[in-house]
Amino acid sequence: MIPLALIEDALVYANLLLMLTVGFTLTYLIAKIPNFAHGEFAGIGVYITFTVAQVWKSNPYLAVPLAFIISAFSGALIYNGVLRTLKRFGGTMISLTISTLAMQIMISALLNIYADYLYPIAGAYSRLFLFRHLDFEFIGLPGVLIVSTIFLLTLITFLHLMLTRTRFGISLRAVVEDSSLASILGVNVELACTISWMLTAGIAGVAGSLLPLWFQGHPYTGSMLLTSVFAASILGGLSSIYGAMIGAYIIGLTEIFGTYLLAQTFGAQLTAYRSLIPLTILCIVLLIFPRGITGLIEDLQARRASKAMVKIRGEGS
Amino acid sequence: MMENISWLLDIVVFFAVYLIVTLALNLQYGYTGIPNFGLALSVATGAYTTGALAGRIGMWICGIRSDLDYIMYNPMITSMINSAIRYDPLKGLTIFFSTIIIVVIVSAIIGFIASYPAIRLRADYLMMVLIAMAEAARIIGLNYTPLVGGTTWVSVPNVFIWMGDMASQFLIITILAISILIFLFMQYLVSSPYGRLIKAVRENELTAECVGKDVVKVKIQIMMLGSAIAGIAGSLWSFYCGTVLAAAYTRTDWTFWPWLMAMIGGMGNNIGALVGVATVIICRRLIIYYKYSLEAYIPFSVVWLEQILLALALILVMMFRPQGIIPEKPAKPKIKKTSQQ
Amino acid sequence: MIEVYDLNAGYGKLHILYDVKLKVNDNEIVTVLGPNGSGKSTLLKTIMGLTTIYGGKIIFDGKDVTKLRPDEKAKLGLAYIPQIGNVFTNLTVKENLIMAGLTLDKSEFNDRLEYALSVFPFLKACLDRKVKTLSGGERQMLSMAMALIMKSKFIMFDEPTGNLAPKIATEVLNKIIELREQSKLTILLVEQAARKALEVSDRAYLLVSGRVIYEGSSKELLEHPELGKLYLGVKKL
Repeated sequence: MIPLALIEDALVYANLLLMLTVGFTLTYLIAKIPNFAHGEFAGIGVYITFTVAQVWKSNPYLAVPLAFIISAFSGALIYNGVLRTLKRFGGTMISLTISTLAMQIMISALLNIYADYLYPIAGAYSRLFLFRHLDFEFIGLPGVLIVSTIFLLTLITFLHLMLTRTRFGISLRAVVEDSSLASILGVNVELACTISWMLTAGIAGVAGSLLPLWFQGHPYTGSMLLTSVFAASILGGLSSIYGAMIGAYIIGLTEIFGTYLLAQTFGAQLTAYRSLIPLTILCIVLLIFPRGITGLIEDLQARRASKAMVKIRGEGS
Repeated sequence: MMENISWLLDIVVFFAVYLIVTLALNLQYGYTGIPNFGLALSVATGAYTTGALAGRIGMWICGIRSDLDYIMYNPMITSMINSAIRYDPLKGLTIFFSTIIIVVIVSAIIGFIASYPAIRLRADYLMMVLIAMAEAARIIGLNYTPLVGGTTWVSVPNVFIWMGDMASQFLIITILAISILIFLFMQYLVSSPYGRLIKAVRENELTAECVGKDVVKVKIQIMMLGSAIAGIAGSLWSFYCGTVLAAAYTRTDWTFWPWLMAMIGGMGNNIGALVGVATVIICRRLIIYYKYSLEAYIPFSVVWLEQILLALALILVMMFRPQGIIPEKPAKPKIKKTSQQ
Repeated sequence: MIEVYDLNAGYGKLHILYDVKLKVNDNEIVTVLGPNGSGKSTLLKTIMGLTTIYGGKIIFDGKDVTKLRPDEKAKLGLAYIPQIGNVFTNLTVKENLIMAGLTLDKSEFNDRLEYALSVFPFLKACLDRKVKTLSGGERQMLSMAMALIMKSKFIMFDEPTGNLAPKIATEVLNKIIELREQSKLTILLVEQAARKALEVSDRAYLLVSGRVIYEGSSKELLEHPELGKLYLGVKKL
C-alpha cells in the first residue's frame, strides 16, 4: 500500500517540475540554447517565499505573484542584458550557453549572499527551511497541492490558447521555426523573445515560491532541480511544450515513487541517490529514442497526415 | 622567507593541476569542439579513485591487516602505510604510479560511459548530459561511504615520505614535471596527423565524415583521452592535499574555472591554455591573499565574490575577447620538400 | 519608391556588396541579374535588414530606413519573398496566411484571405494542415498566396522561378505583371540568367562580384552585344 503522503509528494513535485520544464523547453525552442540558469528563477521564488513568510510574517501565498514579477523581471534582464548583448558581439551557440551557466553561478551566489544577509534578520535558519506548517488544508489535501494544480491547469489552458489562437502565439511559433522569416513578415523578434523569457522565468519563479510549502528550500534548490528538468524536457522531446508536460509528469512521478520503491527494497540509504533516477531515464531516452515522446507521436501523425493528403490531392484532380 | 616560498609552491601546484585540467578541456573543446561541461566528472573520478585505492593499494603492498575497515580506520591505516614506506622509496613510488595508472584507466572508462548516450546527438544534449553526470558523480561520492568516506574525508598516503623534510617539495616538483610532460604530449598530439583530424572534426563534421573519417569514434576517443588526463589532475591534487573530500569536486571549481582559464588564454591553443591558467590562478590567489582586507569592504563572504567575478569574467571574455589572449593560429600547411624535377 | 546609395554590406565580417547603387521607381518592375554568388540575394536581404550594413543609405518612400529592423520595414510596406524557406512548415496553412497578414487589421485581412484563396482554391481544402505535409509545389503556391495577402507597396522576389518547370515559370512571371497592374505594386526581381524575367521587367541591373556593372533598360541589356552573351546566355538569332 502506497502511503497518502507519498502520493501528495509525487503530485506536488510533478506539478512543480512541469512548470519548470515547460518554461525550459519554451526557452530552448525560442533561444535555441539550453538555459542552465532556468532553475535559478525557481531559487529566486524560494527566497521570496522565505522573505514573505519568515521576515514579513505574512501568508506565504503572497509570495506567488511577487515571485512571478521578480523572476520575470530577472528573465528579461538576463535576456536583454546578457544574451542579446552577446549575440550582438557575435556570440556562438556555445558561448550563449556558457553565458547562461555564468548567470546560473551569479544568481546562485547572489541567493547565497541574500541567505547570509537574511539569517540575522529573519531569526531563523535561512539555508534550509520548510513552511509546511504555514500551509492551509482543504478537504484533507494540502493547500500547495490544490494551488499548484489549479495554477497548472490554468497555465496549460492559457499556453495552449495563446499558442494556437492568438496572433502573438502564432508569431512565437513562427519565431521558433524561422526567426528571420518571421521578422520579414513583421514580427518584432526581440520583443517576442523578451516576453517569452519573462513568461517562462515568471512561471519558474511561481514554481519556486510554492516549493518551500512542501519541500525543503535552500540556495541550491534551482541547480538541484536541473537534472530532473533536463530529463523531463528531453523525454518530452525538446521540441514541444506538450511533450514537456508529459515528460515532466513521468519524471516527477518516477522520481518519487522510484526512490520510495528502491528504499523499500534495498534500504533507506538509497533515497540519497534520487537524482540518479532522472539521469538514468535521460540516458535511456537518448540511447533509444532521442527525439523523445514528441518524436514518437510525430512519426505516428506524419504517417496519418500523408495518407490524408493523398486523399485531398486525389479529390483536387 | 619560508612563508613566501610555501606561498609560491602553493601557486605552483595550483598552476600545474589546473594546467592539466585546462589542457584536457582544450583538447576536447578547443581542438575537437566537444563542449565538455562535465569536466568536474573526470577530475572527481581521478580524486575518488585515488582516495579509494591509494590507501588500499598501500595496505596490500605494505602487508597491513586487510580485515580493518578502510574508511573507519582510515587515519590509522594511512599512518601505518606512511611509516612502512618511510624508509622504502620503492613501495612509495609503486603506490604512487600504480594509483595513477588505475586512475587513467578508470577515468577513461568513465569518460566513455558519460559521453556515450549523447555523443552522436547535437552539442546541447551532450552539454546537459555531462553536466548532470558530473553532479551525479558528486552525489555518489557524498553518499557511498566505502568510496571516499561520504561527507567525511579519507586521507591519502604521503608517497614521498621517504624524502624526509623535502617530501612535499619533491611531490610538488613531480606534479609540475607531470604537467609539463602532459603539455609536451599535447603539443605533439595536436601537430600530428591525428591533431589535424580532430581539428577537421571541429571545423566540419560532415566533411570529415565524407572523406571517410569516423567522427563519432574520434569524439569518443577524445572524450576518453581528455577524461583520463583530467583524472590525472584529480589524482595529483589528492596526493598534494593528502585527503579526498567528496564535496570539494564542485562544478564551479573543476568545470567553470578551467573553462574560464581556457577561454581567457585562447581556445585551440596550448600556449594560450598555459597563459590563461597562469592569469586566472594569480588573480584568484591575490583575492584569497587579500581576503581579510577585502572582507572589510564587501558585506558578504569572499567565496561568493569569487563566484560573481568568475561569472562576470566568463561573460566579459566572451563579449570582448572571444579568441582569448593568444588566439589560435591558422594551421600552416607543412609542405614536404619534394625532389626538384 | 526605393533608392539605395553606396551600399556596403555582408554577413558579420564577410564583405559581399560593394558600393551598390540602385533605384526602383513607383510601379516599375526591375530585375537584378548576375551569376551565382554575385550577391543578388544578399542585396535583397540587405534592403530588408537581415544583414550587416557597413555603409550607405536605403531610402524608402523618401524615408531613411537603413537602420530599421526587418519587422519595422515590413510595417512600412516592404516585402521580401525568399527563394527557399519562405513558409513555416510547423505551422498550418491558415497560420501561415495569418502570419502573412500580421500587419493588417482584421477586416482587411479577411478580404485579402478570401482573394488569395480564390486564386489558389487548392489551399481551401487544407487550411488546417501542417505545411510539412504539403509537397514542394504546393508550398510554392502557399508562398505566392502569402505574397498576395501581405500589405506591401514594394515586393522583392528572390528567384521566384528558381525551381519551376519552364511553363509554370512563365505563369508565375505573368502573375507578377498582373500584381503590378492590379495592386499598383513596385517589384524588384532577382534572377540568375533569365531572359524571361528581362522581358517582363522595365529596367535591369547586372551585379557581378558584389558590384553593379550595368544599369539600364531591360531591352538594351538583352541586345547588349557582350554582356548579353557573357551573363545571359542570349544567342543572337
